[in-house]
Amino acid sequence: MDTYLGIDVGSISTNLAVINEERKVLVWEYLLTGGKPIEAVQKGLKEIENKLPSGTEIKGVSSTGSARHLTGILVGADTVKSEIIAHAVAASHLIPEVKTIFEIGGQDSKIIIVRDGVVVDFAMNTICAAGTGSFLDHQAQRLGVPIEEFGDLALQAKAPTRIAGRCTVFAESDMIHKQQTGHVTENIVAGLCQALVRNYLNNVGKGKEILPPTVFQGGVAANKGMKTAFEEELGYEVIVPEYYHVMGAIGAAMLAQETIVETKKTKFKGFEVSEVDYKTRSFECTGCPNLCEVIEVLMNGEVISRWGDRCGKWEVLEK
Amino acid sequence: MAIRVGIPRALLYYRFYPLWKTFFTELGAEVIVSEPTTQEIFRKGLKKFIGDTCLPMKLVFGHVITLADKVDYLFIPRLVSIEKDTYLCPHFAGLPDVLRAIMPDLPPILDTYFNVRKKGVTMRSIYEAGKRFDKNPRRIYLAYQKAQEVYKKFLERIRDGITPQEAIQAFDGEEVPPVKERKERLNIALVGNPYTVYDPFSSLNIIQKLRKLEARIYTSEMIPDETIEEGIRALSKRIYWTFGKETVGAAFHYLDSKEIDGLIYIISFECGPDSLLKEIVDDKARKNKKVAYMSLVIDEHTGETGIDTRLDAFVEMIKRRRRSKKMEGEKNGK
Ligand code: SF4
Ligand code: SF4
Repeated sequence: MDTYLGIDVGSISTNLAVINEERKVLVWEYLLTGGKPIEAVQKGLKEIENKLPSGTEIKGVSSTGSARHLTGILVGADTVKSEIIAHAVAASHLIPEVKTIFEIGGQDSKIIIVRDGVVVDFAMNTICAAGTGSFLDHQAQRLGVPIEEFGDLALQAKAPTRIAGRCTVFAESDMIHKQQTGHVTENIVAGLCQALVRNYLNNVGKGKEILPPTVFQGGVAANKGMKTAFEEELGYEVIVPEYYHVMGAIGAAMLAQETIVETKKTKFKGFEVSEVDYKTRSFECTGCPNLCEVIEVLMNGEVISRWGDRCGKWEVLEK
Repeated sequence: MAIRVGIPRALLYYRFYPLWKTFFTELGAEVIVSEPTTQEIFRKGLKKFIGDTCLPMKLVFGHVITLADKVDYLFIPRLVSIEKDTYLCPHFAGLPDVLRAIMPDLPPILDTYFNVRKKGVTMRSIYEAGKRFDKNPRRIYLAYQKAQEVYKKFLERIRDGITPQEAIQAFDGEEVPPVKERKERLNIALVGNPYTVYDPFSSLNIIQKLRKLEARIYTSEMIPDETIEEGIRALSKRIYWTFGKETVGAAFHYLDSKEIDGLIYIISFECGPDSLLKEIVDDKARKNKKVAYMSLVIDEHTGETGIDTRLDAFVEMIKRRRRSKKMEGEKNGK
């Protein structure tokens, strides 16, 4: 069987997915990056290899996410694309008429506007945590509610408490105040979901043409309270796809397939790369006052890639 | 020994450096420019600055500090207006005073007053700027004439399609690859305050990054003033900031021109004028379904990864749009 592998390495999680020629998801893997992208990728590859039925051949591979370049070098990616494109490709395949994609992860969030299957606009939150999953994690902790139960609890709310959601600090003090004045937990929890939704729509979604069908994906889409809060705010149903948490990897796998149509032959180094000894190290270049921190990747002790230099003088590896 | 004049590599250096340098050199002075911005220069400026301001103003402080013990004079003109009927943002007019108040030990500042709003550049301003080097008004005037000639050539080079950054390099005698020989597949217009867009530190090297992604860069300096005016004619109110007018005029022109695939507006996070103008540009760009648009708000905390991800996605978005349009065309053609 011919298959394609996509790897999405972000700051929080590392996701891998394998699809077949018909773009059906065969296996997937979700792990925490834990600040060690190389280890996460190697571990993920091992898991995927174990799960795949024997006789499957990887015909193409692609990487995405903030560590996409590093990952691309490690595994021999056929194409390396930003996660915005990967997310959009996956969502538009599953819901071909999709017009809007909400992607909310642990530490960042995006909105992607799609028309006729192509991305026409996007935005990412950058400065503020208030529009991301960490906002909910933080407040759940304060409330003593496990984050897994958060969504179900929110659905039980009769009258969600209005909570100021401008920023994490304000939300927290407002929430404590509401707790003290006797609001019940489920109402507060639902209120927090609404606050995050308002925040997301006002910051990340500002000025964007948000139309149905809307797909909601990323780790936070697991939270049913969030889905409901979006639906109440927008007045229509939002779709949470089955593989909402690994859409980046699925999209990357599709990009790999697309690339192979043209290049024919994959550069994939094989699952053996999970055994190879990779290391990264860095040094400060003193070639000029920029003092760039140059990062090197070593494979079995040999430098295979460098980046971080502003002038490009370290990029070329002398043989 | 020649008198040494220091020009900070900041603010209007990115617009007038060839003019200023030629003027002072013609009068026998030696011009010294601060090094390109680095983290260290930025930190030096930040330490001295009291209160809150935009990144470009913090940077000029750092550059002035690094120049201080290398020069006899600092050239920090008091700029109110550099062209008819528009003004620079108020930060510019007060800059020499602020610098002197915060750092009393600086070398003397040549703070020539420029307010050309009504009458253009006056002989008086030119004489003021040059009198420390030569008392003879005629020679000062000749130096200015020469400077203007050189400056005109500099502007012409930019109109030919190289960026102001490259035109400055060319003026300093460096090689700049001719536009024709470049491998460029996409056309992207870049607008914003010149000192943010062309300072590689502030803009996180955005021009180089776009080049790597095979984009040809278009800027506001590449189009004539009349075209900029034309661009903003439809607005109900005049924009009275110089760079604001350029930004919006160029953005409007490029959006309507069919020359470009994408437009990127670079904004300094704390910039007052930009925060207002962004709404105007956003609005117009949103209505244009043919040109991809994005604004990047940048300050000293902006992470490189976030910018890379967005640039990658922006360029990829354009390529995919083109491809789907081509496919549609083929379908319809058959
Ligand atoms: S890598 Fe290049 S830009 Fe960075 S410090 Fe070294 S010489 Fe300077
Ligand atoms: S126009 Fe904006 S960026 Fe420029 S000096 Fe004024 S506030 Fe700063």
